[in-house]
Amino acid sequence: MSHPSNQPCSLPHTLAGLGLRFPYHQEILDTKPDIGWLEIHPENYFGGGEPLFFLEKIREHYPLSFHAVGLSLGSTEPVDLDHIRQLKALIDRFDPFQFSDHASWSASGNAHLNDLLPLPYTQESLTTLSCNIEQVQDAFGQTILIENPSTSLAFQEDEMSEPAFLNALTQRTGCDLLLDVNNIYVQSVNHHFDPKHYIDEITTQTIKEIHLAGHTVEKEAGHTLLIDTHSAVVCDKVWELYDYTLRIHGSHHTLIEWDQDYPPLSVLLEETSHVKNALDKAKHHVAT
Amino acid sequence: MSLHKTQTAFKEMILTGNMDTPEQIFRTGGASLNKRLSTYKNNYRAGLSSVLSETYQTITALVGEKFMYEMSKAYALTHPPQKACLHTYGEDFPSFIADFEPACALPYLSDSARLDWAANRAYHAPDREALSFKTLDHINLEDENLTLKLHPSVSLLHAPFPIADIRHYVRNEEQQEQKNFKMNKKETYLLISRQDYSVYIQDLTPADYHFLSHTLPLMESLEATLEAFPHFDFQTCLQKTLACETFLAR
Repeated sequence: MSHPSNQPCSLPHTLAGLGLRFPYHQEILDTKPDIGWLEIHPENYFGGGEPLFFLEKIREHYPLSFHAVGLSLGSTEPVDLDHIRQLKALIDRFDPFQFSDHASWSASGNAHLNDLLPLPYTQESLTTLSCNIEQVQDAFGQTILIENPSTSLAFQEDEMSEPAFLNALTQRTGCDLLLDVNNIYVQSVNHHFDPKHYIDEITTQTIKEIHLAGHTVEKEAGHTLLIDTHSAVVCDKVWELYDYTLRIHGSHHTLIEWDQDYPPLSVLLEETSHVKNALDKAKHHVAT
Repeated sequence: MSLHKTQTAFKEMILTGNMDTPEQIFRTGGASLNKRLSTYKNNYRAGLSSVLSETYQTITALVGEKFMYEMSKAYALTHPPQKACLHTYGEDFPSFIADFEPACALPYLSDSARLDWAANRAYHAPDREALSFKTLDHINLEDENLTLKLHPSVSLLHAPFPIADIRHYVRNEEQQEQKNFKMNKKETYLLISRQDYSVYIQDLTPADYHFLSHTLPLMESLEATLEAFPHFDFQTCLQKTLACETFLAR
């Protein structure tokens, strides 16, 4: 796909990226930090006005990826065609190098709930999610990435493990995976399994992006429940799992996400430096 | 249970707080099911309350964060979002406030909320070229069929309270320190629009408001306004509204 002449190449020059949120628009433009790429939630740029003005300016300096939160791909409701149309218009305008959404659902009947809700891992869910992914891929004329979820609930009727479900999904639809390593860690604590076994089970060739973020810890009568709040630095155990993921599956575009209680930009840039160091270390490990 | 039924039951759990026999649907062990279900209920309420307090900043300033949270929560449970794009969420909140009994001591609250919504609408409206003094030269204002369409960022508001003054007062710390604001009834006519990516609030006369509220061809609107307001100053109104990027260029 060609891109407008005032935009740089779509592909990042380095693998470490950062989630772009409104509070950082001006500072990113003023300081132009050395980040390979920026990722947006495209729904935040529906409509017009100042958000799109900033995005135009920022796109002149950085490649973008789109990480949607609103397609509700796991829902038994039809995908909102107007939502697809608005996303496609933004794709045509900003030429993102990747597009992703989640293995979850939000829409049911008269409501589009503001959350990424869990799916049972059944053949029926696999069929529903696959049909919706195929519809979106056909509309966009490109494959999309699907992110593994973080959940507080798991279903009695599960017929397969989460990584087996994701592998089946990529095989059936041709979509790729956005592997959120923090989500894998959250799932492993909330649902009691070994996160390394999960990472081992994922098909390497399908991974096209990795996400890292912070979570919060809640306690109840000696039990721990992790909530994927994107409101803290990445914890040590997730950094260890990230290193492990790079060793097993190789280097991939990796994003730092932060969505609540925004810290100074410098905190996020320290997190991306940590990503760069981990990627360098992994490269060195492969070379030796 | 079919996926459709599971999703319907899950949605009802979030909106009503109730779910029959969750232990038959979800795995147990570790943290209790009650705790696990609560994370979804709380996330829904906190997320939408945060969206509403951002959109309705005047209301948050007037009633305080705690009251706003409770009012937003009550709204969220009966008015779930219809779309994924959350800056379109909360259009009915002003009407909801008007019927929200704990807020009935503040009769100006609902009208103040209408102004916040109009400002939110203006900020996010699609980009369309506005009619300017320059492009006006290409238009024959005396054309009987000419209809000027309002720009999508524009809202017209009429309220029995000084809602623009209230909004300005609660957002201006210096003024608050002077504590000189008098909450008297005052008929207010406003035009809300966007200029250079910022929201702009312009006072109108009742005649301006009458003229702009008509979607008739320009000449018919003008005649109707002059009939109701014989001293209507069309030239001044046009200058004022063109400066506010009120009309679509085409």
